[in-house]
Amino acid sequence: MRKNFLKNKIASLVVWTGILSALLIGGVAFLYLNDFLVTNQINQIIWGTVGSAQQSSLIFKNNQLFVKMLGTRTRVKEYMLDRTEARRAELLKIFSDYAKENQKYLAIYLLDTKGVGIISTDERFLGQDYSFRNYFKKALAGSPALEAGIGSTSKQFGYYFSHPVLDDQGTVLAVMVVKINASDIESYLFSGKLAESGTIMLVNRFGVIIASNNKERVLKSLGPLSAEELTAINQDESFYNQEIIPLQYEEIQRNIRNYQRVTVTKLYDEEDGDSELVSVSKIAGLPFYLVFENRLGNLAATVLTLVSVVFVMILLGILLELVIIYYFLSIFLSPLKKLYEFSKKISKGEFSQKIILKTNDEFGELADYFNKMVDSLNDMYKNLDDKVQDKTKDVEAKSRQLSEQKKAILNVLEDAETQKDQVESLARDLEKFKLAVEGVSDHIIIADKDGIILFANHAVEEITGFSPQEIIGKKVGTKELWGGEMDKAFYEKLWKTIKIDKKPLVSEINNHRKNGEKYIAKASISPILDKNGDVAFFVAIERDITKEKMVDKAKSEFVSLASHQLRTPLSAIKWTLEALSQDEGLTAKHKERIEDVHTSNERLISLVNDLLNVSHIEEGKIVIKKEPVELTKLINTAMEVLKVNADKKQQTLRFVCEAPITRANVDVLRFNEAFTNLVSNAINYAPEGQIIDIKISDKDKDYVLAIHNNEPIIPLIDQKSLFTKFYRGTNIQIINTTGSGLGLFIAKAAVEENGGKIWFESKAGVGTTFFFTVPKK
Amino acid sequence: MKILIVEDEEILAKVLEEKFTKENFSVEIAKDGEVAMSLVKSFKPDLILLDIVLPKKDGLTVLQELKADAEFSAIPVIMTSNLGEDEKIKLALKLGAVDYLVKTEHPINEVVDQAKKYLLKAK
Repeated sequence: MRKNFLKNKIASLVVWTGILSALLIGGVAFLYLNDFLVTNQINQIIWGTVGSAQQSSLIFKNNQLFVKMLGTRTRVKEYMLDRTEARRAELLKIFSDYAKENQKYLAIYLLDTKGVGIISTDERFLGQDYSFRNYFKKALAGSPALEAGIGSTSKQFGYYFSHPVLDDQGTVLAVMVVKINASDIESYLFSGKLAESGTIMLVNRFGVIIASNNKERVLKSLGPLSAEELTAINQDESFYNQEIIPLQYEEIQRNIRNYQRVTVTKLYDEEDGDSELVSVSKIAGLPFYLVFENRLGNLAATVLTLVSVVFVMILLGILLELVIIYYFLSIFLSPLKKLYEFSKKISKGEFSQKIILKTNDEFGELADYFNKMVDSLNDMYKNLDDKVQDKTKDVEAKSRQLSEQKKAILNVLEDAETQKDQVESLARDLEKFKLAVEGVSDHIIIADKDGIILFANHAVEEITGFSPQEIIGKKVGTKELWGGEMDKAFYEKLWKTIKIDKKPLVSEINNHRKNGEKYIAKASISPILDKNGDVAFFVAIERDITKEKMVDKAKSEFVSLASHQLRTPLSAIKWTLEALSQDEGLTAKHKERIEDVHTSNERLISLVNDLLNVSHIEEGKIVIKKEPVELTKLINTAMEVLKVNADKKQQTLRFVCEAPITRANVDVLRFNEAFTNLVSNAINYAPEGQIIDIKISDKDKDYVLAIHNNEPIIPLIDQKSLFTKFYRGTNIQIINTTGSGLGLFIAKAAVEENGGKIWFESKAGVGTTFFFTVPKK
Repeated sequence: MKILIVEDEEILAKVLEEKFTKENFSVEIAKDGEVAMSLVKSFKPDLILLDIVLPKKDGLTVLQELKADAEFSAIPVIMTSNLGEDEKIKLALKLGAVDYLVKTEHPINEVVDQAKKYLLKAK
C-alpha cells in the first residue's frame, strides 16, 4: 500500500502541467520575442542611424561655420584687395593661432581665384594649384563646399571645408579652405552605442565609403561603379590614385542614388549564411549618407538564450512550487493520514478511540462524522453485546428453570404418594360437604361465569319443582326455569353487580315454580373469584319467603286499617272533649277530669300516628314531591307548634342560622316529619328548664341541621340500635314511658327520602346532638 | 256565613255543627257524598269541610266534581279526614282543596280558625 499515493499524484500532476506550460510559454515567447526583437531592432537601427546622422550633420556644420567665419572676415577681403606683406603676415598669424589651438585643423589656407595657395598654415600648399579640386570649384562658383578626400600635396585623408571670399559687389576674390583631420570627425561618429553593435559607414553621393569603424571598408564602394562615376571621381581627384573596390551592397547604393533619405534593408549574406539589416540615413545639408549594418543572426541567438533562461526559470519555479506543494500537501493531508490511522484502529474494533482534528475545513467535519460514526458503531456493538448477554442470561435462566422443574417433578413424584392419601381424605371431606349442601333447606345453585348452572341442591327441586336434570346446563334466571318475573332493568343491574363489579348481591326476587305459581325468594348471589381476581363461578343461595312476605303484608295492612278505624273515634273523643271543656258552668274539677281524658286520648292518637307512619313506610306508600323552599321558614313555622310543648317544660328553643341562604329542594312533609320528630324528642327527654339549640349551617352541597341538648346522654349500649323500629333507649324508658320507639325510625326514613343523612353524637359533658343533612339541590 | 260540613261520623258532625253554630255560622250537615253535592247546589255554602271516607260518593270525587263546575269551583274546601297518607293529602291539594286537616292532629278550635281564615281569604 502506498501511503502517499495522493500526494505523489498531485505532485506529478503539477510537474507535468508545469513542464507542458513551460514549453508552451517558451514556444510562444520565442515566436513573439523574435518578431518583437526584430521589429525593435529595426526601430533601434533606424533611430540610431538617424540620430547619428543628425549628430554628424552638426559636427560638419560647426566646421562649415568656422570656415565661413574666416572667409567672411574683412581682413581677408582687404588683403585680397591690397596684397601687402603686413596684411599677409597678420592673416597667417590668425590662421596659425587657430591651427595651433586645435589639432583637428590639418591646414587653414587661402586660394586665389586661380586656385593657387597664397596664404597657408601648411607652407607646402603655397604656390600649388588646387583649381581641379571640387571644393575650390564650388566655392569659386559662390557657394560653400565640403569634400572628403586625399590631399594631392600631403597625401593625407581629410575633410575639406571651403567658403568663397567676396568683395562688396559679391565678386569672388578668393577661396578660404580648412582641412579637418578625418579621425577627429570619425571619433564622434564611431564612439556611440551604435558603433558597438554593428558597422557604421559614412558614404558619399557615389556610394564610396569615406569612413567606417570597420577599416577594411574604407575607400570601397557599396556597389560597382559605372564608368561615368569613376570619371567623375577621377576628375575630382578626391581619392587621388586610389583603386575603389566594389562591395555587395548594390541595393543600398541604388537607394542612395535615388536620394532616399532613410531606408532599412534586410540582406542575406551568402558567405556566412546570416541575415543582416542595413539602414541608411542622409546627413542633412551635406552630400553624405550614414549607413549602419547589423547582423540578425546574433538576434536569433539572443532570443533563444532569453527563451532558454525563461524556460529554465520556469523549471526552477516548478521545482520550487513542487517543494512547496509537497510540503503543504504533507501538512494538509496529515489529517487524512490521521483519519487513515484512525479508521485502521476502528477496523480492528478499538471503539474507545476518538479522533481530534482541530482543522476548520472538511477534514474537521469528516473527523466529527467519523467520531459520530464510531459512537454509533460502539452503541451498536454494545447493544449487540447486551442482546447477546441477555440471550445468554435467558438461556441460563431457562436451563436453571429446567433443572428446577426437574427437581420439582422429582419432588412431585415423591409427594405423590403422600398426596394420594390427602386426596382420599379430601374426597371424604368433600362428600360430607356435598351431603351438607344437599341437605339444607335453602336452595343452593352453583353456576359458571356465564350463568350456566353446574350444580343444584335438593332444595332447588323442592322449591321450584324443576328436577336436577332439567336444571343442570341451563342458564340461570331465565323464564324457562324459575326466573324472568322481574323487569329487564333488574336483571341488568344484577349481572352488573355480580359479574362486572364482582360484588355479592342480596335481593328479593319474584320467581315462579314449574307449575306456574309465583313465589318470592330472598336471594344472595356471590361471585367466586379465582387467583387473578376473575369470576370463576357464582353461588346463589335462595330462600322462599313468600309466606313471610304475605304475613308481613297482611300485618301491615291490618295495622294501617286498624289505625284508620282507630283514628275516627279518637278524633270524635278529642273534639267532643275540647268542645265540652269550653262549655260554661263546668267546675274546675270537671275541667281537670276532661283535661286528663284529653291527654290520654292524645297519647292514643300519637301511638296510632306512629303505627300508621310505620305501616306506610313498609307499604311503600311514601310519595316524594320536592319543591323549592326556604328551610328557615319551615323551621320557624314548625318551631311555633313545638314551642307550646317546650313552654310546658320551661324549656327554651334557640335557633341560629349560620348559612347565608337556606334554599333547598325538599319534600316539605318529610322535612317537617324529621325536624319535628327530633326536636320533640329533645323536648320530651331533656329535663325541665333546659335550652335546646337548633342550628342550620352550610356545608358543601348540603345544609346541616343540628339539634342539641345537654341531657340526657345516650348510653353506649343503645347507640347502635337507636334508629331501629320500636327500639327504645334503656334510660329513656324510665324518663318517659309513653314513647312508641318509632320516632327516630320515622325521622331517619324521612331524612333519607329527602336525600340526606342522619346521625348523632352523645358524650357526657358535651351533650347529645342529632344531625341531619338536606341537599341544596 | 254558610258552611257545609260533610261528615259521616255522627259524633264528629254533631260537635262540629255545635261549634260552628256557636261561632255564628249557618251550618248544613251532609252524611254522604251525594247529599253533599245536592246541598252544595241548594245551600250554596261559602266554605265546605269535606271528609274523604264517605258512603255513596267519596270526598275526593265530590271535590273533583266541585272543581269541575264553574259555579262552585271558587268555594274553598278544607279536607277533614283521618287518612293521613301523603298521597291522599297531595292529591287533595292538587285537586284544589285549600287545606287538609288530619282530624286527630288539630284541636277543634284550630279547625274553626282555619275555616275563618279561608273565608276571609275567599272574600
